[in-house]
Amino acid sequence: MRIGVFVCWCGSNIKNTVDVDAVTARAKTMPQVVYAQDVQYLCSEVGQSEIGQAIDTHRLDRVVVAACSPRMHETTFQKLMAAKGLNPYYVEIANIREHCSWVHTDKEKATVKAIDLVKKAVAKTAFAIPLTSDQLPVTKRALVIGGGIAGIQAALDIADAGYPVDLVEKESSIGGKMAQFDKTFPTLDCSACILTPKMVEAATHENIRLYTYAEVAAVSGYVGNFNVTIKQKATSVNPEKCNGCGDCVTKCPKKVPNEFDCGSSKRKAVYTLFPQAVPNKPVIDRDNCIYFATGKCGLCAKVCQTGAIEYQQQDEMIENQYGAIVVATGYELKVPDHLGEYAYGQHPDVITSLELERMLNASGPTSGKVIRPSNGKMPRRIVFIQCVGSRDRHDGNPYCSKVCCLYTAKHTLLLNEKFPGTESYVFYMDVRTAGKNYEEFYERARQQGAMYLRGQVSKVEPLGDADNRVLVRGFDGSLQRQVEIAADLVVLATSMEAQPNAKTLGGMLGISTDLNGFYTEAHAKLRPVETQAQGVYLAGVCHGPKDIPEAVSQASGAAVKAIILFNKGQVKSVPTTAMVEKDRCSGCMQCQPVCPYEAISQEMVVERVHGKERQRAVATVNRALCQGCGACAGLCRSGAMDLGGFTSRQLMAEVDSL
Amino acid sequence: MMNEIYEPKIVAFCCNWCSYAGADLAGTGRLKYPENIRIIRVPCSSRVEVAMILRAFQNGADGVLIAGCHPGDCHYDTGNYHTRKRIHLLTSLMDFMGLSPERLWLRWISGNEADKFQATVTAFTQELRAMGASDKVRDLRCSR
Amino acid sequence: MQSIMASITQSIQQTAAALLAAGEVDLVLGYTRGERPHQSVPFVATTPAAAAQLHWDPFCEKALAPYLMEESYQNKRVAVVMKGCDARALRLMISESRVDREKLVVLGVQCQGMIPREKLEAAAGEPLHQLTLTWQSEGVELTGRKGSQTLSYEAVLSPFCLTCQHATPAVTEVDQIIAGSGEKALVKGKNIPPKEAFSDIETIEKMGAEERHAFWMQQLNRCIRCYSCRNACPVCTCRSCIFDRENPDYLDAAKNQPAQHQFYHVIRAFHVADRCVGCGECARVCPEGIPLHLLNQKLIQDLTQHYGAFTPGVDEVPNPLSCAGAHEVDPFGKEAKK
Repeated sequence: MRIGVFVCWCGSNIKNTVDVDAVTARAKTMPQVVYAQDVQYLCSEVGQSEIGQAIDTHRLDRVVVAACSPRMHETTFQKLMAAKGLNPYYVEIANIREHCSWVHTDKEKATVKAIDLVKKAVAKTAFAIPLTSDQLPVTKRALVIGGGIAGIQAALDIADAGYPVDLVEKESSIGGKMAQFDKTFPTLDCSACILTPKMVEAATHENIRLYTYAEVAAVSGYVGNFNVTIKQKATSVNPEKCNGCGDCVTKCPKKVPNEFDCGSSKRKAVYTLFPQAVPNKPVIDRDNCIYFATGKCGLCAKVCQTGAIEYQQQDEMIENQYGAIVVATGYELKVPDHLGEYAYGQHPDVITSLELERMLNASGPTSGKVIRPSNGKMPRRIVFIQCVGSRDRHDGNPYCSKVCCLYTAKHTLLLNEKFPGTESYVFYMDVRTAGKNYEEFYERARQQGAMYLRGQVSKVEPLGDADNRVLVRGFDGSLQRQVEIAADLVVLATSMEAQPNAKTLGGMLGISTDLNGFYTEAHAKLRPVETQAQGVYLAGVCHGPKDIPEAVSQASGAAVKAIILFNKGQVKSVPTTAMVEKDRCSGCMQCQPVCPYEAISQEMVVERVHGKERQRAVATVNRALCQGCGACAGLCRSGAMDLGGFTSRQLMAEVDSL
Repeated sequence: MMNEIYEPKIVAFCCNWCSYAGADLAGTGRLKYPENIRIIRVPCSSRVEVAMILRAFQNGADGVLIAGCHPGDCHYDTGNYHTRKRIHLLTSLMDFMGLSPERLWLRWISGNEADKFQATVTAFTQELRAMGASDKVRDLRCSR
Repeated sequence: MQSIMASITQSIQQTAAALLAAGEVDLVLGYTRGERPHQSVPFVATTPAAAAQLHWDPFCEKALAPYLMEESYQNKRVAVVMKGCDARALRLMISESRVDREKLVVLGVQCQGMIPREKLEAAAGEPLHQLTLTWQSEGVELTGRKGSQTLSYEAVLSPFCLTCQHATPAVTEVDQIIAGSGEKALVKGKNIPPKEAFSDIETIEKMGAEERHAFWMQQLNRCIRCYSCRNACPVCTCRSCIFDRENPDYLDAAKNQPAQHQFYHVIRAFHVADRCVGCGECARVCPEGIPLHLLNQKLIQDLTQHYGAFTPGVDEVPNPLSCAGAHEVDPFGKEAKK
């Protein structure tokens, strides 16, 4: 065996803290090392050709690269190996940057550690075995989870590229949060006017299949070949028979708070989410329906002329195969009732921005009029409070929700325009307007008369006057004094939050959530759409607060990732799969239930014992299914199960080298 | 000589997807921690065999750290649950045999938790310094 | 009580003779009287006549299941006498593809519990060869040179049998249950909790860490790496044991290295952790008298305490170490943070 060691300076990144000359010199003395060299930048073209030449000149058959994290450049060096006719798994990386030079300051100690890391890599590569990957077919159908604007956009893009898409939405209609908005900033477009055409397009697209009132229940498989179980909740209304006449809704005697209007109006137990719902077929909310509670009523079934009401419908589990999954599950808004200083839930005239948004909407609970919930009269003076639950490390979320500054500016503009004479006061910490035409939009809001006060609100409380107004106490940082404003209405810009079930779904998909519950991207800068799980892509706010254009662009990005995968039509299987040494394997199959991919099964081998043929059971690994976790190898008693790239022998050699 | 701080040797097994990434992020963020740790990269914490842990101790490790994704976040779905169970039992057996289980740590460190990685390594190093050299499960033929 | 031993012996002999005579099996694996007093040893009967030498008494402790994997038993039709613990091990072997159930005729014996000879001798205070035993319902009557005394069965039975919940193999696991007439078991309906039967575990747990270490060093350092514990264990059934590997050297059997003994015994205990049927063979066969079973019992207690009761060879697989999930305890999460 002829091992070559290459020590990277990474400019000054490694060289400043690690004595690369000493590491190189020491490497030359390590077992089976026949060549060692330090290079300024190993990942550069020059660096690569240096390695290539050394492989030729010194007839190297194993290479150890002491450089940055293998998570950074492992594939770069593996490609180089392949180009030189060597197995890509004959290169081993010693991480002397992220795990050494960047985290230590004492050069002497860091050098000792770097030498150890090289020694460890040399020991491991000495036991390397060649690995290969197979080409696996891809199921050319995508699943989009979440039917908000991001999910709709992703579905449309994939469908337009000619691939079938299933769009799963937990509510009875697609549309998501955007459907609840009145206008969008900074153009003041009517939200419904730009959204509903997309909803209809998605519903009628030949390549899109909608699963509304449905949720993802289970996910298995891997990139190109996911198996997904969708739970289709019983709508109790046969969509084939229903003509959407709405008679059932009219006749239903049960009224419950309407979530779509944040509870400020009532809906029936059989209902459509909103007038432009897609599909525009009602569903029965079984938790609130009298028939499901008592067995009596049945009015909806009586009035339905097409006989579409089906109380006996059951939830259905549907299993489908997909090649790629786009996660676009969106967000929820914080309910600020635990933030006592804002008196939300204590005074009816303290509302959230979304409640105001619904009021402003012509099809909202007040048909577009803005009123004080306490008395139904028009408010004259409105106080907006920013960052309610955002940028709040103590009682809320540490992050900025990103869209509140702009939609509050929008609200002041809309109020000013619709109801001239309203006074808008905005308490803010900072106004953040990073976005195209956003600063101009904010300027416009101020010019139109919105009063911005930089400072935090300390207390919102009933004023106790005849009008039952609300007193907002705060600090105006510009004037450096306390201010008190008697307001008719207080509007809280509440924080965007990850979906409460984000972690559960993430667990099914094999993607992780960050400290705030938003899904983690594969790389913060360069792979913002991909996740750790190959074939699973992110779109919209499920990944972190975003405005609509950002959500839509990310959705298109996610769509393209899926399209790339489908166009390729194949995925490379994981080369570092589990492998069975059949001679040693007893066929006890203790490994089988450990495997999360059901990749292990039993097979019979025939062997000759004393001249006679005998059958014997052994474990066998389906390389197409195995993802290379090694849980089976960690358990195997006889050491018959091993893992390519991380064999027991290799890992033990690493342990022994230290 | 007596006042010299004992510098323990720590062998860490970090899962590629969370803890190794967390360690990388600590590097990217230039978070400083003691030089005592040597990280062995494994695809999943469940890849680690009991034999490897014991061997590390035999070979002179004063501490062994196994770090994986938080429960529920495993890249391979269930791997860290297996790790958790195995290491739980091993820790208990080591305790029963008087083999200093406090020198074996299993911690959940996600790819975002560079600070937790830093804090874990720092705390482990400090505790091991206080404990001094390990004389348990040590194969005297292995040179330090 | 005398009658149940005799009637089981008779029943085994008759069944074995009939099976051999009918040509249904090639051999019957059971026990016969050993050369030493009050000793029973494994015995293979291949003819109806030889079946008369088969024997049953509380000294048939040797686990027979491992023999079934031996080369000489392959491609033969075998009838085998099995106690409850043996049958549990056999069920594991079947589920782990180590033996072919179809080639076996399993004669499940209604086991009354086993009596370790050394325990009996110590309790009697006289060498075994001087003793005549009579099985009474309240205990074993010993008649020796010092006179006669009756010892309770609790005092002489193996601790494993005192805790045993499955003395008689399940009907579903065997082809025939051989039940004697008369008293059912030596310990009647009493099951002693494992904590009591293996009180050594608690004693060790109560020691300080250094004391525990010293205790086990003193025990394990006597190990001569004869691998008797492994060979006798009915669930140590690997086709090739990792400790038989020549290479790599970390698996060597260096007898002068305490760490190697610790390594071997931790790994051995782990390999049977969730599969131990509690037969006690490991400790019984150890020529150095190392209480190896305590490691197994400790792991069983831990598994039971933290992950719920699981009886290997009785409960359905997967075994506890082959499955793990979100619902289980997390000793390494918040609790581990100081």
